[in-house]
Parts: sequence; C-alpha cells; structure tokens
Amino acid sequence: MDSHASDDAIVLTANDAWSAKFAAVDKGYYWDAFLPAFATVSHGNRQSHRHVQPIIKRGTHARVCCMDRAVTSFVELVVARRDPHSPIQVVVLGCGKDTTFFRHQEGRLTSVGGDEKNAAPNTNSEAPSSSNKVHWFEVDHPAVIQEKASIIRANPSLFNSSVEKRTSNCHFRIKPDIYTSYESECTLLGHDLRNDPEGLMLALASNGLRADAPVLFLLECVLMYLPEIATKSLIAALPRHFPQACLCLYEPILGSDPFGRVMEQNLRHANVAQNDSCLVQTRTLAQQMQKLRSAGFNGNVVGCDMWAAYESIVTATQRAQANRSEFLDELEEWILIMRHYCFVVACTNAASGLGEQLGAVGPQSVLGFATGKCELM
Amino acid sequence: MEDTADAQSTSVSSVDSGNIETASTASSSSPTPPERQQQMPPPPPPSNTSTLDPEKTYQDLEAWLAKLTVGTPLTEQEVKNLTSLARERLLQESNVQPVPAPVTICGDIHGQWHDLMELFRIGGSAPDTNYLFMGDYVDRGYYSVETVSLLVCLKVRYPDRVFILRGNHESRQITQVYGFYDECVRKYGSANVWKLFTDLFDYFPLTAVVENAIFCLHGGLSPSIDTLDHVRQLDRVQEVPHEGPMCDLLWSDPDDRSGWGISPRGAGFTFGADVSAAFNARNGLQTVARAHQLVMEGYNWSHEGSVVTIFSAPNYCYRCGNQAAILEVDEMLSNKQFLQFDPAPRRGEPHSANARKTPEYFL
Repeated sequence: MDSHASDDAIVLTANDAWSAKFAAVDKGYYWDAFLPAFATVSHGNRQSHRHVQPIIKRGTHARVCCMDRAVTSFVELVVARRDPHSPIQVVVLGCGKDTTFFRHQEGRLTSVGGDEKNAAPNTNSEAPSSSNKVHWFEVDHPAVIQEKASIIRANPSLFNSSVEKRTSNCHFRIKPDIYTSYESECTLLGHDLRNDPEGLMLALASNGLRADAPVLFLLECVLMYLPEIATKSLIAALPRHFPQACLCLYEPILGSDPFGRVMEQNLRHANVAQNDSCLVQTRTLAQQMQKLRSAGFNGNVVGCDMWAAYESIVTATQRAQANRSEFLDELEEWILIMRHYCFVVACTNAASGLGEQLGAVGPQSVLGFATGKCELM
Repeated sequence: MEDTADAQSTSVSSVDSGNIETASTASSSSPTPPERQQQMPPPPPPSNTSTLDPEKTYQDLEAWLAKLTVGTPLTEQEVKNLTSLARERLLQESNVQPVPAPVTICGDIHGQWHDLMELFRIGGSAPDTNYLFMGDYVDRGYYSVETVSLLVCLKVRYPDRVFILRGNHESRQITQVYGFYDECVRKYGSANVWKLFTDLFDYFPLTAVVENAIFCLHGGLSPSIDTLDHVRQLDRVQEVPHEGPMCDLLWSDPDDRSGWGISPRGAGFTFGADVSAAFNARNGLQTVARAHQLVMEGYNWSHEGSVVTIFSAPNYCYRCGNQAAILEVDEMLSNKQFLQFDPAPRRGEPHSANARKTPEYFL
C-alpha cells in the first residue's frame, strides 16, 4: 500500500480527532475525563495547546452527539427485546483514541444526560443506563491498538480497568474492575482495515462477537482514508458474517462545489487522500447510502448531512449546551463544513425489527431523523 | 497549505481581466483628479495636538508603506507611532463618515494579506483608486498584522482617499479567540502590538455614507436605530458592547424573514426586507452596503436591492472556495460594478510554519 496516501499521515489523523475533542471538552461542550490520557508524548504539548477553531469544536461535539445517540439507542432497543440470550454488541472500526466505551461505562454518553451533567465534577461512578453487559470491540492499526492498550494500562485509577494481553501483541482485553459492578468488556484488535476483511471477521467471531445477535458497527472518519475498493470489501464483509449488522457512519461528502473542491485539494496536500481514496470516490450522501445498500445492508438505510443532523439528531438541549460553551461567529462557514459531512445508519432485514426502529424517520425515530431533513432508502 | 493556494491560483494568474466579471474595468485604475476630493466635508487635521514634524511624518509614512506593501511587518515602535497618528485622524471622523464618490467599497479581508494585494491589483492601487473598507481586517488569515498595519497606514497617508470602518473582529474579545492576538504574540513576542491596535480600533468609524445615498457598515441595521442621526449620537470610542445599537451595527445580518429576528450568531439581529426598505426610505438612501457574511460569489444582493453584501476574502480561511468581490461606484452613483477575484498567486513565499498547515477539518 506504499502507493497510497501516507500511513503516517493517516495514523496522525487520530491525533487531529483527539485535539478537536480535547478542545471541545475543555470548553465545556461535553464531558470526557478519559481523553487527556490519550495525549501522545510526542505531540502532547503541541496538541493540547493547538488553537482549535470554534466551528471545529462545535462540529466535533455534534459528531459525538450523533454517534453517542446511535450507541444509546441501539443499546436500549436491544435491551427492550428482553431476550436474555441476546448480548449487546458494539464494534468500533478505526477506533483511534475513541473513548466511547469508557464514557458508556460511566453512563455519561452525551445522549444520556451527559450534557446536563457537563459542568459538574465527575461524581463516583453513576449507574449506567442499563445493567446489561456490553460486548465492545475496537479495531485499528496494530500500532494504534498497542498504544491505546499501554495508555489504559498506565492509568489504572482513571480507567478502573485492567488490561489483559491476549494471543498476540496487538490483541488485548479491557476488563473493568470488579467494584464498578459492570460486566462489560472491551476487546482491542489490531488489524489494518485496508487488508483481509475476512480475517478480521473471523478474528471478531473467535473473540466472541456473535453472528446470531445484533451488532452495531461504528465508522467515524475511517473509510475516507481507505482505497475505495478496500472500503467496499470491508463493509460487504459485515452483513455477510454478521447478518444482524447495523452500521453507523460519519464521513465527509465532498460533492463538487467549491468548498468540496478546496477540501479535496487540502486533504490531498495533507497526504491523507489520493485518487483512489474513498474520500475522492464516494462524494455524496446518495453515493454513501447506495454503497451500503450494495454491500448487503438490505433493510433501512437512512442518512442526512451534518447540518441537517445538527437540527434534528443533535437535541435542543445539546445545541443549547454548545451555545453556552462558546460563541460562534463563523456561521456561514459552519453551515458549509457541516454540509460536507454525513451521518448514515444502515441495517439489514435480518436485524428483526431493530433496523426498522433504528432506521425510522419522523416523530417515531429513535435517532431523531426528521422528515424532510434526511434521505431514506 | 499555501502551496494549495498556489496550485489553485496558478490557473488564474494570467488574469488581470479574465477573472473580472465586468468588461469595463479599465477606468478603475485611472487616477482620480485631486480636485474631486475637495468636496470632502472633514476639515484638515488640526495640528495643535501633534508635536510631530509634518515632513518627518510624511517620510515615516512613506517608509512604512514601502515595508508594508512588500509584506514586512512594522517594528513595535513603528506600530506605536502609526497608531498614535491614526488615532488623531480617526478621532475627527464621524460615526457616519461622509465619503465622496467615486469609491471602491470592500468587505472582509481577515488577514489574507496576499489577497489584499490582489485586491489592489484588480481594483487599482491606493490612492489612484479611492477605497472604503467595511471592517474585519484581522483574524482567521495568517497575516492580520501586515494587513491591518497596511490599511491603517494607507488611511493616515491618504486620509481623504482611504476610509476604514470597524468590523466585529476589530475587538479585544473576538481577536483573542480568532487569531489576531496569537499572531501578534507570535510575531512580536508580546501582546503590546495587539494592545496598540485594539486600542486604536475603538476610534474606527462605525459607518459611512457615500454621497448621502449608499449607507456602508460592517453588519447591519439595529432595532434601536431609525435614522443616521441616531448613529451619529452614539459614543463609539469603546470596546464593542455585547448588545445595543453599536453592537448591532457590527453584527446584524439581513434575512429572508421580515421584521427583526434573533441572530443565530448570538449578537446583533436579523432584519427583513421590510426593515431595510423602511430604513432606506426614511433616510433617503438607495442601498445599504455591508460585509460580515461569506457569500460564495463575493457579493450578493438581497431585499430586492435594498441591501448588498460584499465579501473580499477569496477562498476564505484557505478553505471555503469562494470568490471575493469589490464594488466600484462611479462619481454619479449611476454605475455599480462588481469586480470578482480569486486567491492571489503566492510567489517565493518563505517556507514558514504556516506553509505546511492544513486548514482544519473533522478527521
């Protein structure tokens, strides 16, 4: 893959996501006590002091709100089935420095009242929204996974978790300490998402990801860096191996307008995209949705751009929190950049009712997809 | 990143006319006869406040302009001297500064110094062309110091030919969030230059009126202001307040909805076509010309011609892909020409830290 965009540059985008989240949390947009631990040594000082524009903080908050809402809704829907044999399974592909697992453990995802509690100090572990055990998996480049495991291991009091090394040096299991009363576990798997999706599916299955239960796959700014052909193989493998797969995606949509053209130039210049990249090849919301449909997500596929998502999926309370956190002058630019990202949820028919609920549009939509503000396939 | 701008603008570098929308651009760069300026209402500056030798001042200004037109920042002492001269001059200007036609009206610049040079190439150099800038010289771009220094210097050197208004970014509070403060500290090693400029911003006029017909300001109208006399009565020499008429003038936006609305920016108001039409009629105005909002073509008419938005920072923040525009108004106000332009070619720019910085996206 030497011919593709620079590996180093792409791995470093995890730091960009981290910086934006750190800045947003620092300004009070939302709560995340786990982020600071993931400042890398080499970039630590630069990152934490780097100036992050208000629109980036606001948009990062919106992204976190949407993804959190998907996780919370999925968990609640599975719990509501009252099937004692149905585990709650979440897989974060290209997890980078994502802390959703730990925030979920604390019951402090933005979608479960985390925003109201935002300003309050972290009181002793509060009861999570559900006592059901969550089987959480995170996948990223082996180097990223190793770094993540070592950071968690080095901060036992923060994460309240132990780290077990498993079969290889890029395979770990995060076990929350017993006194937290949670039974959830997080499995970290090192895998280069550009290659061998079949091998990844087998690795997930052999580590306990069950094919006879629903799975929520999360992809946040991951496909954009991969070669288009690799993204197709990857997403097609998901419903083939896990028939009750649901997928939640947050990715850029360049379109063909001047903003999108400059964005493409800038990201090419930053060495994270080139001709065959998904970013360049899959340019619109419709193309993103069609690709998921073609990959085997044959149930509801619903999506909207992030500007629409901000007005429907992000709640009024969350928007008010953003307004309280920071003043926004860059209104036109804010709308422009938000229109160049999308939030898509895709389900299979086999997800027995879950897909209809997760992918619903209108007043009954658990995710908040609003009629006239989203596309339904 | 600058390289990106390079790549983008090489296609337009041959351009002096190709890029300009209107055909009749030749006249824009021809010098304006000096006698036309004699209509100017403001009297010459009284010399009693200054102990400076006028000849020395002239030489200083010429020397500073020579530096600033090639992008070299002034020294801190020079900024101190410049802002002192500028304060004297701006103090004499009205909250509704009368501006004679012909004049070229410009919107936001935001520290895009190279693009300001392109603007002068397209619109004609000062003082051959008279200019009115409607604020937002600093923040966002990488060259706020160079940009605001140049514009203030031109103002002092050619006080009757260059007019500069205050934008919402000419403020202590906003510049600490959006970059000018950090840039000053980075380039001068302290916040002294930021302090000198932000203290000077308090003196910038809030609005101007071209030949009593085109009301020019950064943001828009205010529910507290019915007439130009209301604006004249404001005590402008202060930090931009969080609310009230002075704030509204620098923050408000026209909107499709009629009447007054709450601004999504959190400051100022939105105002409808009914408000603009009534304001223009009440004050005998043709048009409100304002800046403040990014418009992809560089200019945008709204409210059935009652309001025009002008935005003069091409590819704003090196990210937006927009064109910039300036508005040429001829001496009879009979002809309004918009000149559009794209980002300036960047030649031989030093390989600075900024040169490899990518504008921010969600990654």
